[in-house]
Amino acid sequence: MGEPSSGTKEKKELNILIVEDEEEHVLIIKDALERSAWSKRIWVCRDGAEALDFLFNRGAYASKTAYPNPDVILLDLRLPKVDGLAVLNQIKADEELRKIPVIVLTASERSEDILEAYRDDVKGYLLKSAFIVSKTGKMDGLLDALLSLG
Amino acid sequence: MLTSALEKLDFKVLGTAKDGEDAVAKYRALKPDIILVDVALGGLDGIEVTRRIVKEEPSAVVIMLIDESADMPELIVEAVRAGAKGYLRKPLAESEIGKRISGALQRS
Repeated sequence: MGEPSSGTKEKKELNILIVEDEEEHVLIIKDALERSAWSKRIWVCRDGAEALDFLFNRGAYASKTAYPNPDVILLDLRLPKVDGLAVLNQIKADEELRKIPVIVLTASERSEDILEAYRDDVKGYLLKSAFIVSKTGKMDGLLDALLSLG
Repeated sequence: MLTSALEKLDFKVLGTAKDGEDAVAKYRALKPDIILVDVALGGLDGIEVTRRIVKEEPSAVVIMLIDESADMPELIVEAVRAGAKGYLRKPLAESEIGKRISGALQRS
């Protein structure tokens, strides 16, 4: 079951879905996001099947009010049950969900993964090694900066 | 635009480079935590800039920026092989998340 957590500094809320199975990485990503100035609701799904249930409002996530479409999806690729690229394919095949920006956060440097994610029009593809050291303090806030580039 | 977006988030932009040679020189002089490199950089291309920076500092965080309209996936693969930590497609500011962040920042 995904769990929401709320930031408090701003009134405007941003809904973020993190799809990640490794608990340590979930904590680091949430930690980076929670340093940002904007208010947000963060949901976490621990496998690909759960992420699809969330996005398509099925099963435990049937309520669209309680589980609205996120404003951005941070997607790992190596996921239990349904692989991240399969999740991505289903997102991009849906008229509404395809409008949500997806940023892949992964340890995979495989060309096939990079190319397939690129073909599926992801907004970004970031290797976890770029920010997983955020606990050292060196890169606090990297993720929120990256999310706002333009 | 990028510089002001980052500064609004309390990031210190140490410098901007006008081309690839300048980027490598600025990296050496400033040693930033993060280097954002336009893949279509003039002079030394973005891949070569990445290669040179990562050769000097293997833990450097180089992230490629690529235009939304560009179709150059092979270049991205090459950039990651050269040591880049990934890519972002520009402009993110026109996306819903970018608009919402900009709105929140303007109100703060």
